[in-house]
Amino acid sequence: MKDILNSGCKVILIALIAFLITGGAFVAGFGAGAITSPLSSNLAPSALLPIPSPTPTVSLQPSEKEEASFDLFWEIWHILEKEYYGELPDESGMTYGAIQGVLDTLDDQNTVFLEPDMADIMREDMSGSFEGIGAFVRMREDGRLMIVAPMEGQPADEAGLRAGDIILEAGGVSLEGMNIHEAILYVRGPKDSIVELKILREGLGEPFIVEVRRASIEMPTVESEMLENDIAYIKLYEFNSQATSRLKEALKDLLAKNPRGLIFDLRNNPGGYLNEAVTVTSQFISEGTVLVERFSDGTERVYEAQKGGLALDIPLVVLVNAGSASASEITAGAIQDTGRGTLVGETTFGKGSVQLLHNLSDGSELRVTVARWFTPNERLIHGQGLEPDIVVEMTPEDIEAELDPQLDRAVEYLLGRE
Amino acid sequence: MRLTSKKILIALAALLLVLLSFSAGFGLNWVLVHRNLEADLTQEIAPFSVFWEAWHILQRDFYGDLPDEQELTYGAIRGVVTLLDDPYTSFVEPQPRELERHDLQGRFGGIGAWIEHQGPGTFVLDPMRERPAAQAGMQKGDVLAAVDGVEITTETSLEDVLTMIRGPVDSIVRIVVRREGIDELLTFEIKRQEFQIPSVSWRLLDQEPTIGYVKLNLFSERTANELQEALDDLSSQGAEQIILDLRDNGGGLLQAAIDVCSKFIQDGVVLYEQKRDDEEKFYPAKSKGTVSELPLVVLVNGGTASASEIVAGAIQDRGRGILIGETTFGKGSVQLIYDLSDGSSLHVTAARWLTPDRHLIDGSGLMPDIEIALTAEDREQGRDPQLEQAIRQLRQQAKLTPTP
Repeated sequence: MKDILNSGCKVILIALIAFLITGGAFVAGFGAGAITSPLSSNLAPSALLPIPSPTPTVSLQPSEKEEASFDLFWEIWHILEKEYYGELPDESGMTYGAIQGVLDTLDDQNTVFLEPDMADIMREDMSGSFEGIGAFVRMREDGRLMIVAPMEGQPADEAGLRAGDIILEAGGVSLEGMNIHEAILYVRGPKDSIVELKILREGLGEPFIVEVRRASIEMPTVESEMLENDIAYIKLYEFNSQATSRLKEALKDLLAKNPRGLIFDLRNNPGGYLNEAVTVTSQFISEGTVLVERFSDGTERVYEAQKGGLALDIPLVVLVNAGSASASEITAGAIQDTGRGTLVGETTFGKGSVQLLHNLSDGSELRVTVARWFTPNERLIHGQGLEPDIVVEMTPEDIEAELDPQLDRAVEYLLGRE
Repeated sequence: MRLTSKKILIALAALLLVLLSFSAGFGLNWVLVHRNLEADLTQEIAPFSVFWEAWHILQRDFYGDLPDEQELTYGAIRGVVTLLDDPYTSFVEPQPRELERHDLQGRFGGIGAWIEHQGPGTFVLDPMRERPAAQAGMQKGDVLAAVDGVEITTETSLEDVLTMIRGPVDSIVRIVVRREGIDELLTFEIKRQEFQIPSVSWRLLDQEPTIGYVKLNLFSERTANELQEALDDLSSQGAEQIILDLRDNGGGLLQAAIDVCSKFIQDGVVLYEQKRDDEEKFYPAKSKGTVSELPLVVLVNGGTASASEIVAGAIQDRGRGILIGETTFGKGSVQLIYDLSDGSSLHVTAARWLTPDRHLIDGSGLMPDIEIALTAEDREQGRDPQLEQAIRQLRQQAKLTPTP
């Protein structure tokens, strides 16, 4: 069982093979440039955190009262079995449909159910690596799976696949009309296995076949570099289970160069595991509260910063935008409330709920909203987001012209020019 | 009795709720029969245990309000029904509030007249025979001037008029009308009555008194009897040919479709029904065939669906008459309605049906023998080229057929 924080976002960019992101607003920075707006999604992604204390398991049988009130369900199922003209789902499908039907009554987009196949993809993704062809994909409106961007140097890229290519078939199976998760399952597979893809490329009349050897692919988690004027820059893509260790590597590497300031980029980071949010924040804050979690029964749990942070003193700017959600907002909120750094950019997504992740007995997964979280100064950001200290917008024209006024402003700020 | 698509029946109680309420989706549907449940309620335990696991986790951990046990059950049912991806298979929850409202207000009644909104402030009445309006002396063509002291103005909507005229059964409504040729206004006090919407209306055509025109609005349990009454009345008035208008008739009960067909067709197949297991059966016409000889034209359009298509399809395939108008809707599936123990109901697509020539019309509809459209402009100007074509067709047939 794990805790998750997710942003519910409609995402469109998904890394085929593995990135699936759960949902999130995830923007693949990689050249795809596509921005996803973090609004209403069915699947939220992000941070999963293992829970320290094991929760007792629940009963797999209905109580007598539950069973009695459920008679109508069986009445209807038997009628359908007897009379329905058409294909009925098998019992697992029927069960999953029933669970989904119940979740639909909850009015909470962050409480989600994942069937076993889908749960496997998610688990793999959140581990920080996956086995597949290495491409970001999305499902188009017309039900076709399109490559948004191949990941540089990865099998899809090596095989000559390009942004805009449509994957019609994988291993001889047509992907048309599938949902994106089903489709991804056919493209992913064990490392070193070969998948035959039927590709439709604009400008070519006939689809062609490409064989791609799958590989183990690291999820992009951290990207770092030294900018001009001795400013260190680190971008965190999501709070997967590798987030803290990758961040520490990057910090060690850059701090050794004695930068005068640090920019920590959480833009379009949809979140992830709650515990990663705490340990990431602890790199910047030496002590005190990172967040407070409050449950519906009135109990609360305070998460304190852990000792040993690597970047406790260096002048710090955190870049945020509307795609910065959940775990990102925990980190940015704590940094803002403690005065440790300055937030630059746009108002964040505003996801202040925590999900607990349950692996169910048949391999499916249930993510349940169990709590609200508050910043150290008791702010509930749910539905509102964090206001940056310095608001800098990024217009579509900026994106088009490959300008980054938010980053520029952060640099200016650190150089003390304002 | 006249009925055009612009007319609306005033104030009828007992709205055949069953038939109308299942107009899921396109307002088109028809139903075989209400079934009693004999299912054995043995429960599948194994794979379904994940459902209870998930529910118990939600009960223990969820931050927010959970549905009660009934909502839980309904939610699960909706989830399964949604999986089927069939617009005609649906779960209809009981609607306690709706029912309660009807109970509180008591039964509704009306005066028994058709009303036509001819223009701003102009509402023309057409009383139904042997109903309160007619019995009080109202006549076809009377124009509404006031209802219970409220004057009709150019601002008055049809809905306003209906609301004013309808009311509790046995209460009195005071209606003032203008009648052509009479200077002063006429006032009627009418006791509201409860009655059902007739599914059949008929008349001899003004322009061709040998043609009987019959319009079916839906296929209810009473449709076959009403049709018989219409046919008897028309033939006693001297009708020698029939126009059967099935335009915008969204269907109804299968048995009614068979009974209606049986008025026109002597015997033989009306339709074939195929179930999931390839089991097939055919439904024969009952050998009543009251008007099985009279020349017949059927009017159809895109709103002609399911039970209507069964009738039109059988008449076309059996060569009993020709279809004039536009391609029909194309609903070739049969639903069963189950009334469930708690007042909810389940509509299940249980079969496909085929015409006597074994055409599956689902999705494609029936092609009329003579295709002719009814444009928005025709509608505005009160023209009906489809009906006119039907009259021409029958006149021509009459010329070719020597009268004995």
